[in-house]
Amino acid sequence: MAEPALFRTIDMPFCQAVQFEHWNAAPGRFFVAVRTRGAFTAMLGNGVVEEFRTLSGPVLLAPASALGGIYDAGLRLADARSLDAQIDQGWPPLTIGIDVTAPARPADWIALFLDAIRQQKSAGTPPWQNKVRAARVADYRLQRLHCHVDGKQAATIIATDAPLLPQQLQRLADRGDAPVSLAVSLGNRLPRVDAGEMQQLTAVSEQTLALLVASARRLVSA
Amino acid sequence: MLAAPTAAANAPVEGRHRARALGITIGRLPPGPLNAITDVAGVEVGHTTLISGHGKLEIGVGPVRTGVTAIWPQRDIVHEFLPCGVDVPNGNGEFSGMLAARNLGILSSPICLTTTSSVGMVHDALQKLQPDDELPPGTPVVGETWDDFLNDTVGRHVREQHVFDALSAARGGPVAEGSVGGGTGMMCYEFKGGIGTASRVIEQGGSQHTVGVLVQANHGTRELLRIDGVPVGTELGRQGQAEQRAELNSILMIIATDAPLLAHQLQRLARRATHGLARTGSISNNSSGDFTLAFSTANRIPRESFYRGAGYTLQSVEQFHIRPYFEAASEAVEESIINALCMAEDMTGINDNFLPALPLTETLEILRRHGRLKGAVDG
Repeated sequence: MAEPALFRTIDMPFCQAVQFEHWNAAPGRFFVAVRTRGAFTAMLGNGVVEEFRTLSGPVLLAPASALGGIYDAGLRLADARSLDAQIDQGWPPLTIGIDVTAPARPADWIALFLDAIRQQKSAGTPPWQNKVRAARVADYRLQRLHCHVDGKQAATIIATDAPLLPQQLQRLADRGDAPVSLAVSLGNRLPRVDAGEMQQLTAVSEQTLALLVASARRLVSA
Repeated sequence: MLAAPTAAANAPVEGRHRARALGITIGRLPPGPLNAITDVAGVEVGHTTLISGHGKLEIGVGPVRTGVTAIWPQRDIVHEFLPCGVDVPNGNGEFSGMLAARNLGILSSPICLTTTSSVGMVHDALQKLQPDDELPPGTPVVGETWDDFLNDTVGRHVREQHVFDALSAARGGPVAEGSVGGGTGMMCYEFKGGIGTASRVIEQGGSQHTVGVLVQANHGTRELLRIDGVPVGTELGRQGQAEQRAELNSILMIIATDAPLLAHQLQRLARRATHGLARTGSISNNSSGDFTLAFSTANRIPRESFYRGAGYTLQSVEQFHIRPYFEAASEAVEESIINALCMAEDMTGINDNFLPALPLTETLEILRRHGRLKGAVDG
């Protein structure tokens, strides 16, 4: 029996949402790392992500020329979870631009976007292609989403259920050679806790991390 | 750490005293019992202070005004690593261990602060503390600032034994400040600078944590000096002193906490040191080597588990509750710098170069005029 995916994509003609848990899950965050290369600049939400090294909503892929609009749609999704711009309830919508011609959007595209996410159902196909690869390392899984435009690399997202800390995830993200690479660990979900209570986390050893990094390298070159 | 009987208006200050003992109260948060980095349990500090010779500089002979300050984050640091983070307000200096902090997120060595020309030797001395086995060795952490106004810097007077002496001398409890250890020949806002320390205690949700700071202060031009928001440097003026080459100078800031902060959170904490530094007037000069390292003693990571095996567990403060630690770090850095200034004494070094201590009587008079003096307290 196939293992459940570490992420799911919700496709639309004008964007793609990469979701690691239900969009309206209880407040919580996953660790994330971002690596950009070359002249890549088309990303919104990365300032907060780099500060806190966490993610709490879907990653949105969008044509670079439509980046702001898709980010705003993602913000509306976060607003539906909390009006207080909480980093564990979808703020900020990490939105990545793909170098591709943006298709025309219908007048009610924001409603279409929100409906697709709420119903967890794709509603079209984005103007780029995806390849998904998976690997198993020790007790952990890795899955890579590779977005490309007619064979030209656009973005890579590596997800793992291994409990990696941010600096460990960074070494995974560094393996990607697309203009932008993300690494997300689902191994530690950080729930909101009260003052005085501590988050409980786990981390892998360097030995296990080395295996994960090697596997990630193979995945991105596959 | 005796209180100074100096709070009365116009009373001349005898000797050197810490800021709080003079009635200078930085910030809002309470200090720990020692108001020192050693308020963080397990942290120990030791100094080797080298002072010899007078008169004309003779490279390799002296005069010598230098030393080493050693900090044990915890005694077993080479076998039990601690999470750490770094920040660099301006990077014209040397601070080894930054890559280990950034790429691995761990501290695996005692920390030594010294003079610029001794970094390599101190680094190699610290390397000798690392276990010699099949696992990778830890990364020595040594930072430097430039003491060439007073010291025969090029003469490289710090020896390996001085490093080991500082490490052996390290203790918990009160920390010697001013012209000691790595701070012996340092200049701060063109007054005598050196080592300073302070701490803050945070209570939140029934938990109590401490943030402690130690600085090696060798930065800033006099006109920029501010104490508790008052432009003391400008008001003191030069008092006959010539302008020094202070723009080449730097500061090292070490933050310790017993709060369970992870590496990326400690990097954020380290960044807040700059706010405390800035409140004393620094702009991190173009030629400064300003470095901050923050570590937490709460999560000990066995070396064996870090490198191999199934992994390890950690605790972490919730990001939503991290703000008080930022305030604590900022305040403690600010007060550490002021303590370094208040505790350092006049010093004459190479070629009879003279560096005056911050004049406490005049400084208190300025602060009093600005309504910033409170009653002197212990510590």
